[in-house]
Amino acid sequence: MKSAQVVGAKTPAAANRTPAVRRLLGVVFARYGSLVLLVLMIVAFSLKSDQFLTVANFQNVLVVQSVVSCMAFAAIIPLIIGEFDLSLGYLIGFLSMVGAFLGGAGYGAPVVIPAMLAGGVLVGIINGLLTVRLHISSFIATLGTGILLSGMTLGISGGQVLYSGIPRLITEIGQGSIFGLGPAVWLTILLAVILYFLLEHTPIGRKLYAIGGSERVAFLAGVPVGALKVVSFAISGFLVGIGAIFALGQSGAANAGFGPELLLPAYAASFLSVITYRPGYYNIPGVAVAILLLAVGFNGLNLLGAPFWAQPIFNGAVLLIAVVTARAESRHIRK
Amino acid sequence: MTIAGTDITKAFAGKRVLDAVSIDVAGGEIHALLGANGSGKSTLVKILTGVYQPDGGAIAVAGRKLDAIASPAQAGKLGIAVVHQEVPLVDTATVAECIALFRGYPTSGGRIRWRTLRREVEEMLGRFDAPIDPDRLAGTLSPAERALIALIIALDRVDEAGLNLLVLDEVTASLPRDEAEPYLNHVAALAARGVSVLMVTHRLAELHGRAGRATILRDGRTVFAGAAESLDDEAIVAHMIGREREPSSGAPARRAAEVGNAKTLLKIEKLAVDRLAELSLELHAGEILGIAGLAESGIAELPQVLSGAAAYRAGAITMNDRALPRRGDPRASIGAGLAVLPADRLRSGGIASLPVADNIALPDVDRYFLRPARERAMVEDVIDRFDVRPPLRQTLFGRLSGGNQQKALLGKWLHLNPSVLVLDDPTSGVDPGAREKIFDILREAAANGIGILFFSTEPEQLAALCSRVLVLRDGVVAAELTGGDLKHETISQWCYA
Repeated sequence: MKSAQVVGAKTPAAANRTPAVRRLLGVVFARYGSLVLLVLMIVAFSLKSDQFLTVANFQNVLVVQSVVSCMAFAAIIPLIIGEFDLSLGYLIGFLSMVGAFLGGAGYGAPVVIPAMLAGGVLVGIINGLLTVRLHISSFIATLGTGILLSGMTLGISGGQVLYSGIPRLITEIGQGSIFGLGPAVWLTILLAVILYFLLEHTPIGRKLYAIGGSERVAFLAGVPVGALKVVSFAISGFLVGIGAIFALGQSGAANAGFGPELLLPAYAASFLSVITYRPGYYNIPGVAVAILLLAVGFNGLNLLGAPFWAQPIFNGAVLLIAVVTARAESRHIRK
Repeated sequence: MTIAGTDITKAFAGKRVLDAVSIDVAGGEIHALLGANGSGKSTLVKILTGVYQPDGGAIAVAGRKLDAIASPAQAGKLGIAVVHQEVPLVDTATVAECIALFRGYPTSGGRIRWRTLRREVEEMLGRFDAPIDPDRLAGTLSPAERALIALIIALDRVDEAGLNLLVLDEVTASLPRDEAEPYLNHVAALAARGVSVLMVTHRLAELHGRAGRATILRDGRTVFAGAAESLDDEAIVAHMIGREREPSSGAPARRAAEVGNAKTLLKIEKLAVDRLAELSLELHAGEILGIAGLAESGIAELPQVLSGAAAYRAGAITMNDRALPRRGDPRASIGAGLAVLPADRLRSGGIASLPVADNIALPDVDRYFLRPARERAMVEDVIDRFDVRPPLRQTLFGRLSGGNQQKALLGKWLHLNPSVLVLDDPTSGVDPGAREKIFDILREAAANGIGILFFSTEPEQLAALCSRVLVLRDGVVAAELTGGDLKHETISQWCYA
C-alpha cells in the first residue's frame, strides 16, 4: 500500500500546451470518465428496456445500494491511512444479529440502535489497537477479529434466523418511504455528504491522507498517527453499524450467514473510487459513482434478460477495465 | 603483482570521473585507497570488481591482460572477492542459512542436508576463530560479527589458491573503533598468507603498521602513490583535499564574536544516545552552527533526537528554557519552536504522493480549517519566496527535483516561524543552483534571528556557510572551530585524524 512510486495526474504545465477545449475534455475524462460511462449506460438501458427508466426501478436500485454504500464507506477510511479492514463483512452480520437478538428480547429502538452502533465502534477500536499498539498487520488483525465475530454471530443466533421483535423504527428505516425514496437512501446520501466534508475539507481528513502517504512524515510533522488510526477504525465500525441497521430493517430478519459476501463488493467500489473526482486517491464521490455504476449495470443487464451469472462477470470486468484504462491515475492499485 | 590497473579512464555523462589512474596490488600487500567523497575511488573499486567497465586503460589480473572486467560474476571467476559496507545478511535467517544463500545448500535427493551445512559453516567460522553459533539469527549479531560473516561469505566465493584480490570497501565504517581492531587483524593475517588486499577507508589510523602502499585520489587523478610509511595523517588529508581549492563564494553568517552575546536558543547538555556520549552544545540566535563528522561519529543520531523521532538515554535538551521530553515527541519539538529537515527527503521529509501544497501545509493544517483561500495564499507565498519550481501548488512532491523538494521543505518548516532550524545533510542530491538558493535562504533566516544547526559531511559547505563548526568524533565534540580556523582543510583534518 505504501508505495513510494509516484504516478498521478498530468502536471498542469503539460496541459497548458493543449487548446482549451481539449484540456477541458481531458479533465472530464481523467476525473469523470466513470461518470460519463454511467450516463451512457443509463441512456443505453433506457433505449433497450421500457422498465429501466421508471421511478419504481430507481427506487429499487437505490434501496439495495444503501447497505453496500455504508460498507464501501467503511472500507475506504482504513484504505486512506494505508490499512485494511477485513472484518467489515463479518461485523455487519454480527451487528445485525445483535440487533435482532436485542429486539427479540423485548428492547425497543432506543436501546437496539445505540447498541448496534456502539458495538461497531467497539470492534473498530479493538481493530485499531491491535494494529497500532500490538503492531499486528491490519490485514491479519482484522481477519482474526472478523472470524471471531462470525463465531459469536452463530452463537447468538442459536442456529436460527431471528425475525421477531425487530423494532418498528428499524424496519421503517429499511422499508419506509420519504419523498419517494427510502429513509435508508436519504441517510446514505447524508452520510456521503458528511464523510465527503470530513475527508476533503477538515484537518482530520487531510491528516488521514498524509498518514496514508507517509506515516513517518506525518509523525514528524506532529500528526498523532496512532490515535488517528484507531479513530479511523472506529469510524469504519460505526459505518458498518449503520449498514447493519439498514440491512436488518430491509430484510426484517437476521441470518447468521449474512455479511461476508458484502466485503468484496465494498472493496471493489473503494478501489474504483480512485479513477473518479480525485484521481489516484480513495475518495467519497468516487465511491458513490462506482456504486451507481455497478448497480445500474447489474439492474440494466437483469432487465435485458441477462443470465444470472452475468453480474459478477460484469462487476469484475468493470473493475479491471476501469483500472487498466486509468492506470496512470490508479496509484493505489498498481503496486 | 596479482592485479594492476593501468591508465584507467572513466566518464559519466561527459564528466570525467577517473583520469588515467593506475593502481597495482602485490601479493601479500595491504594497499590503501584513499580519497574524499567524489574523488573517484568508488568508481575505481567498481571498475576493478566488474560493476563498471572503463572507457580506456587496461587491467591485468595474475598476468592476464584484459580491457575490462565484464561483470561482477567475471570478477569472481578472476579471483576477485569484494566485501561491501552493506552486509548481505537476512536478519530473519540463521547464520548458516545466510551463508548457504551464497554458497548453495548441500543436498541429497533434493533434501537439504542440514547437518552437513552446519558442519561446513562451523568449519568456516572456525578458520576465523569466530565463536558464532551457526543457528543464531543474523539479526542478533553485533556489527563486528556481521562484518566478519560478510568477509567469510566474500572469501567463500573464491577459493584461496585462486584469490587474486580482496577488496574491502569501507567495511569498518559502521564499526566502533575497538571492534574494528580484531577484524583488521584477520585481514592482516590473510595478507600475511599472501593475499592481496585493496582497502578503501576513511580512517587513517587503521592503516598504520598494516598498509604497505597507499594511493590517494583527488578529482579523478592520482595525487599520491607510494609507501604508506612516508605519510602522516596531515599529509594524507592535505593530499585528499588539496590546498589550492578556492573557498566557496558567499559571506558566512555573522561571526561568533557577534553572536556571542545573543540569546541562547538551544542548549544540549551531556546528551547520550546510541553512539553519542556526553555531547554538549549551545546554539545562539542568528548563528549558523555547523556540525561535522564522519558517518560513524554519532552525527546521524542528533537530528533524529531533536526532531522527536528518537528517544535519548541521558542528558538534557532545552529549547528556549523548555526541556524536551526524553522519549521523543515530534509535537513537543515543534511546539518548542524546533524545525528539523531530516536527511532522507523522500522517506522522512515530504510525502511523494501528495501535492506540494499539502506537504507545505501539513504541520499546521489545523489553522486552515475552512480557510482554503488563506491556505492557498500561504502556499503560493511560500512557493514564491523559496523559489519552488515549477511554481504550481498541485505538482506532486515526488515529481520535483531534489533541489526543489528541499526548497519546498524549507518553506514547509520556515513558514511556521521556528526559533531553531536543524538541517541534516540538506544538499545531498541537490544541484549547485538550488544549493546556492538554499544557502541564501539560510543566511537570511539567520539574519532574522533564527538559530540554525547545519549537519553536513562536506567541509567546503560548512566553511562557506557557518559561523562556527563543531567536529564530532567518537560521540563527542572533538574540536570547535571559529574565525581563522574555520577552513575546510581544518574541518577535514579534524574529521579524518
